[in-house]
Formats: sequence, structure tokens, C-alpha cells
Amino acid sequence: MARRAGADFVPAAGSVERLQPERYGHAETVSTRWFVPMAKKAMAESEWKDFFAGFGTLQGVYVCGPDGTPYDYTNIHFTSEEEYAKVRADFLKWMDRGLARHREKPPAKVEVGAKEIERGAPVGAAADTAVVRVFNRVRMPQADHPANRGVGRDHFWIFGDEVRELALDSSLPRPMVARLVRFQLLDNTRNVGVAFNDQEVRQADFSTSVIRTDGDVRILRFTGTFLAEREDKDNDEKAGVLGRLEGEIGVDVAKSRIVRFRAYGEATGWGDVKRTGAPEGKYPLVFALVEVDDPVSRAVPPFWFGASPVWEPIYRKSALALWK
Amino acid sequence: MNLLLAVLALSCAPQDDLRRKIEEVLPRPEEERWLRVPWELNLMKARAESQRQAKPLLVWIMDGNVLGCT
Repeated sequence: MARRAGADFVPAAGSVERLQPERYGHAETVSTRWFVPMAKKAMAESEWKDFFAGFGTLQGVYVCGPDGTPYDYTNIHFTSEEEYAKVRADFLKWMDRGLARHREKPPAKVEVGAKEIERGAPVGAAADTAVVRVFNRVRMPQADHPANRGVGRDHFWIFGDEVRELALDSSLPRPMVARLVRFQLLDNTRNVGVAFNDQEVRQADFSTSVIRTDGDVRILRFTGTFLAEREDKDNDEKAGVLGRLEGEIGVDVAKSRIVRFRAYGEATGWGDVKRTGAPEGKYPLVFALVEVDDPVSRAVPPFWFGASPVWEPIYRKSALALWK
Repeated sequence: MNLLLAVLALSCAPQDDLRRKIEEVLPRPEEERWLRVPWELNLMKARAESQRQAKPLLVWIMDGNVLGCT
């Protein structure tokens, strides 16, 4: 599938939060003005035609022309090994169908100017923001839902003022700790995890120590314990996480830059059984956090930063009620 | 000399231990095959390329950008 996607198509990826302003609240852009009409038409002409009305979101996979002609739409959903195998097999046939439709009815010629391309650039991390990849796994090989055997993913941003504070003070800025516990140390394995509000975090005790200095780079070791729980009233269940995180941060104090961020966490998770198919009862989670600096990683915001204009400032200036 | 090596080994141990634990969580290559696809993040640029190469677009839009989120 990966080979075909690159060879037979021009592949593009994005987040529905940015591309569906009527639902998620972000501003209209040159990209949304092209994407939304194409996507709605694609859904209406596919076997998922009632999907949008029922689900309300334009997420999915599309084959289309640059002029906005839709050729096909599908979505990826599975809750068992059998469904997963079927999704994989059907996806190649779906690609073939989209290609055939493109051949039968080629798109009209379009001119995409340099200004449009410039305006289509994704919103990414500021130059002084440090970007960290966050991965998590459910350490339970026998879990029923096949997605429990996958990897949860997100980005974690440490903003420029926090990096400068780290360089001066060698302690973790409170908004950074709050952001970690509320928005990042979540079980993202099957789907994006639901963030905790400021009152749902019961514990966030982190400490640091300077373990050595290599020239301008100060290496901090940190450890922390965290506990958060929320009510999921829609599904009549509670969901939470209790865990411990340990790691090292290398801060170039002369340039106020994070040059290294490595952390490992072990936790117990619970809940989200009805919402996403998490294991029943309490289950083991592990986390890994690693710094990144490539253009793609810097261009893709953390889920909760990009979720909507409402969440962006809350992510940016995270706080905890227990600190008041 | 043996004592020095032992001290050095001990001083490296926590970092090696952290690295080993992190590596066990990181995605395996087979779990990231889809990342080998040259996904374009700029839809307008992708349109221009689609026009230039006369190939259709394959557009994957999910809750959270698929190149960073689950």
C-alpha cells in the first residue's frame, strides 16, 4: 500500500481540525476552500454517503483531482483482526477503483500559483519551540482490540519562554509539567487520548537535578509521578492514568535550546473501554519521549494544540488546579 | 584499572538503561511503513504536483495529523 501510494498518486496528509473550519473553529484558508467542497461531494457519492450526516466529520481517505473532482472516499475502521485484514485487502482494490475513475474522467487543468502554495503551508512550531515525539504502548499482548498492539503517537511542544526558563533555572516550568500530564501522558494507542482538565489532575510531582555540564550544555535528570482521572459521562465510565516518568534534558544554556530530551514512563491506565476499546480493568502503559528537529515533525502540531482555537491557549499556558 | 572500568560502567548504566527502555517503546520499522510514503503537508503544493505529474491526489485526513498523531 505504501509503495502504491507513492508511485500511483500524489499523497497528501493533514488534520481534519484544520481543514473543516465549520466544525472545529479554525479560520478558513485557501486549503479549506478547496478541500471542503471536494470532500463533501466525495462522501455524498460514496457508499459512506450517510456517514457525514451521522458522524459530522470529513476525516477519511480521498482520491481526487487537483481541480477538486472527487474520485473516491473511504475510511479506516476496525475492531478485530478479521476486520483489520479486510480493511487492508479492500484498500488496494479501493486505490485501483480511484485510479480507474481518474483515467475515465481526467480532471480539468488548474493553475496553482506561488501565493496559494505559500498560504497552504501548515502551521508548525515556532523557531524557538522544542519538539518532542511522544510514543506509548499498551503492554498487554493479549488485548482483544488489535489496535491495542499498536503505538500511540503525538508531539509535545516546549515553548520558547519555557526553554529559556529551563536554561536559566534548571527546573521544569509549571506550564510544561501541566501540559505533560494533561495533554501528553495519555493512552493514544487506539485513538487520540482525551485530555484532562486542570481539576482532573490529582498529582504532578516532578523534580530535577543537574547531573553534569558538557561545555554549554547542561544535562538535567528529572523524575515525576502523576495521577489524573476524568469522568466519561457519555460512556458511563471513568478513565485515568497513574504513573512515573524519568528522563534527561540537555539544555544549551548559551543558545537557550533543548538539544536532547529523552524520557521513559510506566503507568497504569483504566477506562476508555466503551469509547475506544481499551482493555477492561487496569492495564499497563509505557511511554517514550524523544526530541526531534526534522521539518515534518516541526510542521505537525500536537493534537491538543491544533484541536481547535479554544484548546490552543489552554495547551500553551497549561495549569493545574492543585497548584492554586 | 578494573576499578576504573567498573566505575565508568556504573556511571554509564543509568543512561544505557534509559536508552534501552525507550527503544523498547519506539515504533519498529514495520510499524512505520506508511511513513515512507512521501506525504505532502501543503495541500496546495500537492495540487500543483498532481497537475504536473498527471496523477490523482491521495489525501488522508484524520483527527490529528497522521504524520504526528495516532
